[in-house]
Amino acid sequence: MTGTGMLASASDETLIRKALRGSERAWLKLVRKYERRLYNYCLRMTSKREDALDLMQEIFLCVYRNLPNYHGDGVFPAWLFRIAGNKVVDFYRKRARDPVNQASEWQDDWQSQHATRSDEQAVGDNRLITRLLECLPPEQRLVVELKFFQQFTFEEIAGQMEISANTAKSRLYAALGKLREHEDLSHAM
Amino acid sequence: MRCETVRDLLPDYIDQRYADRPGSAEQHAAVSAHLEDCPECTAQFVQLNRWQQLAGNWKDEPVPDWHRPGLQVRQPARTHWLSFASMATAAAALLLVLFQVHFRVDDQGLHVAFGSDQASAQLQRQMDEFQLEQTAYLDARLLDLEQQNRGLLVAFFQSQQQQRQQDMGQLVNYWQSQRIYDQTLDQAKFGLLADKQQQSQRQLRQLLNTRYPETSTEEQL
Repeated sequence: MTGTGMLASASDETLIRKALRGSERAWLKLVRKYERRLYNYCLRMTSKREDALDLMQEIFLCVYRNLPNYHGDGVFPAWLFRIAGNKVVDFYRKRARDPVNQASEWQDDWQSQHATRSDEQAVGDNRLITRLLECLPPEQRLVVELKFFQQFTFEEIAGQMEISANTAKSRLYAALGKLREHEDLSHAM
Repeated sequence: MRCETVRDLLPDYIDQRYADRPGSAEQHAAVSAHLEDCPECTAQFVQLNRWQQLAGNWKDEPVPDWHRPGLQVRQPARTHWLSFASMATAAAALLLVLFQVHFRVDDQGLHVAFGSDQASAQLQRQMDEFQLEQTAYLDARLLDLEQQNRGLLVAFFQSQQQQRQQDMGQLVNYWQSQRIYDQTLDQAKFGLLADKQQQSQRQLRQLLNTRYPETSTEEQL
């Protein structure tokens, strides 16, 4: 079980059941509950706010379409992030075909809107994290995201990515090695 | 403890996920001891810890305004009384068809009949008549088409014949005019040849007169 507790899971199940019976309110509640977490996930995966929003919309649409297939046999966030992972892979494939959109576009306008010192520090951390994650290939980036930001276990990550837990660990350590090299290089420059 | 084992345990070591497992205290102590002696594993531990902290420092950005896919949620199922009414109506209609219920209104009132043989016989008669009409109509149409086709064929052959006659006439005219032109040309050539021969004879006669002036012309020639 991850950061989401039993009560939250039960609540998800209730919302999904009601949404499947046609309750728009329950569906919107479910969307609102996860949209912030999912948007920031997409932001770290894409490094672009516009792409993150598009990706999040795609993920929610896919979740909606597949909601009848969710049997409540697992924790909803794990199911949600499995779909999100698939969509992220699709996103990288699309972006690979369109090199013009590969460049990062970390916007600084957010910083000007949030002028307090703590916000500036947070923006700096966000920018640093995004910049470092960009140096990773998609599958390693996804493992880092799921491990450190979503707090999934290796078994859960392995289930979501349809790989073994050992492969997930190997990818994480490979990613960490690459991140360290990148940071050392950045400091040297 | 080997490095591979330690690296397997490191993420859980940081999270302290295995705290409740039996023997976890010993495992924790073994990992700690290994880290004191192994710089590679310590470097991995530091990097894991750093990213754990970095992830904690991430400040969630607010979600921009977006169109939530709420309107696409399936519509609620229809209430039972409506579906029941629909089903009842459909069932009644099916029964009316199956039992061949026949309603008829005349001067004596409303008549309801089940399984009418007369109606089916009448329907059969009407179907036969309709079939005959259709057959006659189709035959007439086929005849018309055949006649039209025949007329078209005759006209086509006539036009072909006329075309051939015209072509032959043009060929004969051309041949005759060419013949006249050739004859005229030949006559002109013959005339020119005769003129040249006469001129040659005159020149010959003059030459003989010059050489033999005593002899008569007939003798000379």
